Amino acid sequence: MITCGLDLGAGSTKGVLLEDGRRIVATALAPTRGHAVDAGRTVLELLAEEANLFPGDIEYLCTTGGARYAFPDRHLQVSDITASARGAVFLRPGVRHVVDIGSQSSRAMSVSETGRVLRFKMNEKCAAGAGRFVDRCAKYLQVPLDEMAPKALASTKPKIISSVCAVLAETEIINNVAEDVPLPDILMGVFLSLAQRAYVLMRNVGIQPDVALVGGLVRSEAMVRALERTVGAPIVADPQAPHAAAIGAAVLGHSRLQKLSQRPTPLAAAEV
Amino acid sequence: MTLVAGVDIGSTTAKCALIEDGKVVGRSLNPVGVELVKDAERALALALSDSGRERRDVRAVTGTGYGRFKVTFGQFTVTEIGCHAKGAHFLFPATRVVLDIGGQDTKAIKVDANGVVIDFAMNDKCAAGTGRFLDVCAGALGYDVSEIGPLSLGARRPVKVTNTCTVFAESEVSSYVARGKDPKDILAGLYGSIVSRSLSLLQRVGVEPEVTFTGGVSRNEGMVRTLRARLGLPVNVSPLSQFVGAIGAALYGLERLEAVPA
Amino acid sequence: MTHPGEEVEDGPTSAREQQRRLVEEYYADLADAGGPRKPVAYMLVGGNLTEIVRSFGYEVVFPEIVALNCAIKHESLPNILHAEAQGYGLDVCGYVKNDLGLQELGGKTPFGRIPPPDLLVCSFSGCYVYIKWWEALAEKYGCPLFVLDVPYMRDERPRSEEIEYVVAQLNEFIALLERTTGRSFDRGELRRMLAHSRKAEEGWVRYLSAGRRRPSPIEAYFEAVFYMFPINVLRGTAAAADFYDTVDAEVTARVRAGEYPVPEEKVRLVVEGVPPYPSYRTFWDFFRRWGAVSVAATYPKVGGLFDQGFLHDPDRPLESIAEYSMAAYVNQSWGLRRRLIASYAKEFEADAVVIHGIKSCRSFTAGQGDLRDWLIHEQGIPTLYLESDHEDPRYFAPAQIKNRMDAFFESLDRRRSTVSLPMVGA
Repeated sequence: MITCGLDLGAGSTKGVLLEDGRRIVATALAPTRGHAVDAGRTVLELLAEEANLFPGDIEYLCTTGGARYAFPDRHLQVSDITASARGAVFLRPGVRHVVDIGSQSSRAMSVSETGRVLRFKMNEKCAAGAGRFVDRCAKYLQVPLDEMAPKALASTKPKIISSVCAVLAETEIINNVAEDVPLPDILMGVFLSLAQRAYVLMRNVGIQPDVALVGGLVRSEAMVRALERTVGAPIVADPQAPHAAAIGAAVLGHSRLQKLSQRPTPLAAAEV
Repeated sequence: MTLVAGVDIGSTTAKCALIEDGKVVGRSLNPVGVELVKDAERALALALSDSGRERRDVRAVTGTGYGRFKVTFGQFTVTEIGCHAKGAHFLFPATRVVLDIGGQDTKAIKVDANGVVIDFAMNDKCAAGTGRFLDVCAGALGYDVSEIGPLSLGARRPVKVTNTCTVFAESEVSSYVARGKDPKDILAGLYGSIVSRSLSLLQRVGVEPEVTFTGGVSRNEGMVRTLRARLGLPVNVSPLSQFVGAIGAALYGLERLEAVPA
Repeated sequence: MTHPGEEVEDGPTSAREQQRRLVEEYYADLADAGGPRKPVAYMLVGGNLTEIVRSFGYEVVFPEIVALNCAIKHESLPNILHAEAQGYGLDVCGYVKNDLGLQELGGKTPFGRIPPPDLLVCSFSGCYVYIKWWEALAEKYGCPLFVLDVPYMRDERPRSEEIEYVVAQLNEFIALLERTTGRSFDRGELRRMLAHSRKAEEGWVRYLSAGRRRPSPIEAYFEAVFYMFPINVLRGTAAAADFYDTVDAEVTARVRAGEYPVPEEKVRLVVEGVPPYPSYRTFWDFFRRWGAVSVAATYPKVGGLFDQGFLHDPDRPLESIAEYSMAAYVNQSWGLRRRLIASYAKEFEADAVVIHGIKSCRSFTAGQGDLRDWLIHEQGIPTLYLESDHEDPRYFAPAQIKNRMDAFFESLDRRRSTVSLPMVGA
């Protein structure tokens, strides 16, 4: 039984294929670029290719993320908060607190052992722009995204950007460049600033181990270190955590599908 | 025959203008990176080669913009507010109000008959209505900001962009794209939103003809048309509108040279 | 509290050193305060009732001043973040969040621990957030809360029925204090304290009026913030009264020696608004670079508009307290506020006005945009509006603030060098 989870985010679209609600058989990612539906279809094709399946073999599709209603070929949609919590616990069953730093907004959730959300808090309006902020800094500072973390980790005196607004924070970075602050210190400052913002949300819902970071920035070691330093506790950073919401959607899709198949309807019975 | 240079180091581009005998004789524009001193030097070198003049002929170099202190080889520094006032007055002597929309901020500047700043207002609190806003939203539409100028022309039903926050406006634009709205109408909506913000800054200093539009965003035809329509007044836009800060800086240098006899 | 005069043999005590010592002693005094033996009252600075409360043996804590002390020592952000983690939003006043965070974290400040309140006195009702702040504290500590309803000041002088209204509340307040402490009201003690207050107030007014001199021997905003500690926190004590004698002597010595806060005074300013405490030095430095000195400011008047004649009077104790409370700068209508600023600009021969708005403030800051327009267009006074926060370091964008200041001072400079040109709004 193959279920698909599709996370249609503002920055990128992520997808996974899940076999029998247990095993991840494919993951894929494509930039959204304002075209959520196209990106979703691209991801579905990539997934089918990776798992050596036809898109038609996907029995159930569950969407999540900001554009989850926009994708027409879905069976179910779930909120990104529900999905990333469930995905994080699927990846690491000991997780009780999930912090999701997305491209546009961040959220912190406390979760039960079954991955149900107990409490959550999202960033306030003016504190938006998490992952996109890193992208833009990379662009402005002319550092390729994957080189940001190694460079940042060389920092000795990180320059924290205090501004709440991500766009004004850019002005501060430009100013730091003009004032000859070393590049590693500016870069680490970017991550520490994000960590500080996330920490406010995390404390609001209450921090309980294990704490997992999910969302695209989990790939950045500097982000993980910055968060550990700010929170003062180890952070679980699963290699598949960028896909946590998609995984959660697939898991939720699978349990819905099971419920549906246990409730025999005349049509379903005929098909079986 | 005095040759002077103005170097404007902004948040996204470095501009240089060379002035001799009341004429712009050379200019350059290139993106800035993290080595601002080099960017500034390159800006001057490119403008010199554009004008066919030599470095040794330049009597004064004046730096302006956020990176003005990185024009380390220059003699003077002035804020871009003073420079835009002076530069706009040079290009359009009847200018009384300057609207400058740059990468990081938007300024409305009131000037007197001599091009001296009387009052100014800048975007506070957030980056709403700046070049960066346009930049980010163009990206969400899948365009580069340099391509979108004429694209809004012929828009019939401009959308309403309600978010003033750059971060959220980006997703608002994305959602309009996802709903299949015509990019023309989305762009027209964005221009309307930026112009509304600019108008409130202009009203703070008091609108009075002539109005001169400067800065990178003034190169955008759709923005210029929207501004003219909403203001109900003609708006001066020079082909050199991106260089107004650099021109003003060069003129400042000239003024200082004349004030202090050699 | 030690009498500052006792330590004179330590060497020449400048007012600044003496002020530092007074701050330390004040916080040291609070270390063992709290409970029936040495009860603690929390009060707001604007229009406060410190003499009445002190006459009943209370120690007084001003959480606004504790908050600014945290901010100036770069220790406000953890408190603010703690309050935000509890659900207080980005837009809630930084003073409030600093205090509520600090209370949860055990009252630790850069100067010592703040005891919890035994009594809460809300002496300024012009800010609704402040009333809610005091209500939140009352709920947390379960102590009595007294809210003095101070009529908003619309005319130059309070009306007699308004004074009666406040005096009636002061009598209720005294009755509450008698019930709470089991002590009876000592009118003689209150009068003695008001005499100390009067002396301090007169000294403070003398200091502030020195800004009329050219060049100004005082910095009426940045320096005055330090010198306002005794008048705001220790009013009613002999130490506060004597402090301004030291200040007097220092100002006289400066004039004699030709030593000025800004060596070469180029621009004379009137400043309005609460300072950006988290970046206080940086902000001050931006002014000094341009040879700009504040010759008058409204912020040092938040504790009382003494220079406009609202002094405490031992012979009219409750009436003068009522008038003083109403006349606090924060309780003035916008018409009065802007007329006061324009009159400072004229009397102190200022070149310009600088307004610093507070991002997280919705009551005191509202209207500053109109003030700016009025000063420029109606009064012809060049005016600069800047914005950050009094408490939250996240709102101070140095690059942007510096750029605005540079542009402003540059254009001021140019306009003055071309004398034939009309000034702003002419």
